[in-house]
Amino acid sequence: MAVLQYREALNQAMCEEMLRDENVFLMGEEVGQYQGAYKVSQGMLEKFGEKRVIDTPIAESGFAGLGIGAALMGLRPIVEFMTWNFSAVAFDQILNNSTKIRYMSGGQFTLPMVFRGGNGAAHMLGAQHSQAMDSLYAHLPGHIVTCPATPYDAKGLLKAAIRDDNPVCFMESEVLYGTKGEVPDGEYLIPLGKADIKRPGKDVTIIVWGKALFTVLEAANRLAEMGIEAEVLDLRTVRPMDKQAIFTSVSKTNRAVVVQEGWPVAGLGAEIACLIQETIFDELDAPVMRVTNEDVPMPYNKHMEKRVLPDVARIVEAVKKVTYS
Amino acid sequence: MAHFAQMPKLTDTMEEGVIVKWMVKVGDTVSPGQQIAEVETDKAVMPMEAFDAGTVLQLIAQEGKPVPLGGPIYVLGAPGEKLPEGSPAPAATAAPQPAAASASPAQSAEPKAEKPDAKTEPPAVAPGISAKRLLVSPIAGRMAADAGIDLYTVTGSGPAGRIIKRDIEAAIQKKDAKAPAVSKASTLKDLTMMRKTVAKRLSKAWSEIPHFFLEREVDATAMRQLQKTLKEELPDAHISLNDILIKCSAYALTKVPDCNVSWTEAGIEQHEAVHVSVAVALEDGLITPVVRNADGKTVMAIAQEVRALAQKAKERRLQPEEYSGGTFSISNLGMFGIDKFTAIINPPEAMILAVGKVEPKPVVVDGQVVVRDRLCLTLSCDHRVVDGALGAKFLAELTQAIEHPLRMLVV
Repeated sequence: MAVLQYREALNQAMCEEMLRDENVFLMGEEVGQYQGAYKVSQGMLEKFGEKRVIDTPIAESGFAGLGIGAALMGLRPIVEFMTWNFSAVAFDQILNNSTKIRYMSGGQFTLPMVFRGGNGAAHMLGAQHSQAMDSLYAHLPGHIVTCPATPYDAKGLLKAAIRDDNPVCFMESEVLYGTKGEVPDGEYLIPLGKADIKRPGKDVTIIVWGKALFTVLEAANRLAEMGIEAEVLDLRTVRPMDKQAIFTSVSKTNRAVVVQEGWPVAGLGAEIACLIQETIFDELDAPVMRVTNEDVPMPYNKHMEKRVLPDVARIVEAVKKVTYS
Repeated sequence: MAHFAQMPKLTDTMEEGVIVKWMVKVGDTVSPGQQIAEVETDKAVMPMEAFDAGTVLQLIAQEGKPVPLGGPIYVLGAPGEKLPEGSPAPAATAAPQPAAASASPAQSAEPKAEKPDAKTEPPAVAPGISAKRLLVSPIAGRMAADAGIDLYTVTGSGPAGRIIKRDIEAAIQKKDAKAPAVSKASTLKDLTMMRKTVAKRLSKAWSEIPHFFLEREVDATAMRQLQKTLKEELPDAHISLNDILIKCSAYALTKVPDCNVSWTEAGIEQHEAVHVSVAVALEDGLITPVVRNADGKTVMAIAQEVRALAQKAKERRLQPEEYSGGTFSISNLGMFGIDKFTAIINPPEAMILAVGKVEPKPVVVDGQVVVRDRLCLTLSCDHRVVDGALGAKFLAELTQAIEHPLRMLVV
């Protein structure tokens, strides 16, 4: 067991898979010579050479399409977006190509590729660079969307994503790259589509994914001081969602709060709340609550940014509501 | 959207108001600030204005009838709009209703589970307007149904009085606390073979044999003395009163052989040998091992045999030939403190002797009151084969044997 940074866990995952399968290669802005915009691909150009670690121009649509083409030809590209905000430029490639080719070709082509990059807000990056894109991409059928929060989850899920024959949107966070966690030494994979109970509890289920996990865990500690034991369910993958884990947990606690870093309207929080009340209505003691970003573009100002994001206070308030405390 | 307008607080001390006069009728359009009624408050008659613009769809408050603060007084909306839920039947004094304003039925009294939506405010139903509507969370509703709890007896602690899980948990605890801590329910024990057999045989005996009972109190002093003597002289023999009684009964049967019979449809079966069945109490029933040819056995032999058979009976090792074939039964409950009792005949036998306890009692002997050991015997007889006189004759012989045991040596 080693303690690794999230970025190191990703690095290991990519290196191991590239050693294991020569078809796997990495491309994106600054991934090679610059050692990665966030140093995720540190040392990889040296290790694997120019043919397998490719610096691209600032042309997301172009290199996303390039990746799709490579995948069509049987390669296994890892396409890095510096952040998922910039995937907007490549949206047509994802919406109309990567999620559709397998279906429209009647299965003649699979696209074994990974799009990865940092997602959501960081610190004072402003409206255009703080967007959480997970809800948008999870809306599209035809690919997998996963958002690991810990180094352990990141390595296991990235390896699984690279080996999966479907296109996978792998969403990290600039804020998480430096966080540390235990990662086993040997080979391991984490199945895509499986949630994980990060903290067991009995009074309420808090459903979360991605970096909001840490805010939720802090809120859970605060709640424990008030005598409320929260069960924290980390979805890890948001498409496909581990519905059974959600239903099992909420049936146990009878109350659910979804914490989503992102805009509320038609977001994943809404989807989860709907699933719960549709399927296990009779287990509910209270309506399902969501704690999301405020429905605004992200402010640049430090304090306003904090105010927009889901914080411990708002999560605690929501839990108190559903537990009538 | 059609909505209720509520009785406003026109003075700071007002708790209810009375519409003195409506200044509008159904179908009129009103604009904010327009006076629509005169309201009598606790202080004075004051004008009431409309707060919104719209068409008056229904006048709810009747002139002269008090309405509490916040109570609905009229409905405002767009022309022809459906009245909101909770609208009562149209007030009798209101202006003619347009055809579209058919009264919504009064709120049903059934408890309705509230849909889990984002709003937690209560629906806009004023107090006193409709029958009580229950707000119950889905899980609370289910728990209450499972536990048999009437939701109308539960106070909801959630918003707007919503009954929630913890309210039902509390109600269940209260219910359990009231119920006795230990539920005295009956349990069912499986029938053992013995119990089944006893039940079957004795039910048959009781229903088929016409029983009658002869009681006789005998003097047991001599018998007691005999037992004492035997105890001193033959301590290892452990001869009991019952062993002596068995001997006496066997003797009496030889003297009155007409009692040593069995009823059969074909005829009365006369037994030549005297086999005495001795009732032995077991943990889960009783069994009657047989002392064969008891008339020819010494009391000591009888004592030994009865002890051995009883032990075998308790160990469930009695063979069928050891507990069948008796011609007469004796059952002794004296050691359990019973004064006297009636026993049920053991078919195919004709009689059974029920023996109580030996007790010192005052009796008259030669005109004097003296204390003697007395024993009550009750003889059950099968009236098909033994009549009263015959049974009495047997008891007489038995009494003689008990009261003068040495006679058995001679006669």
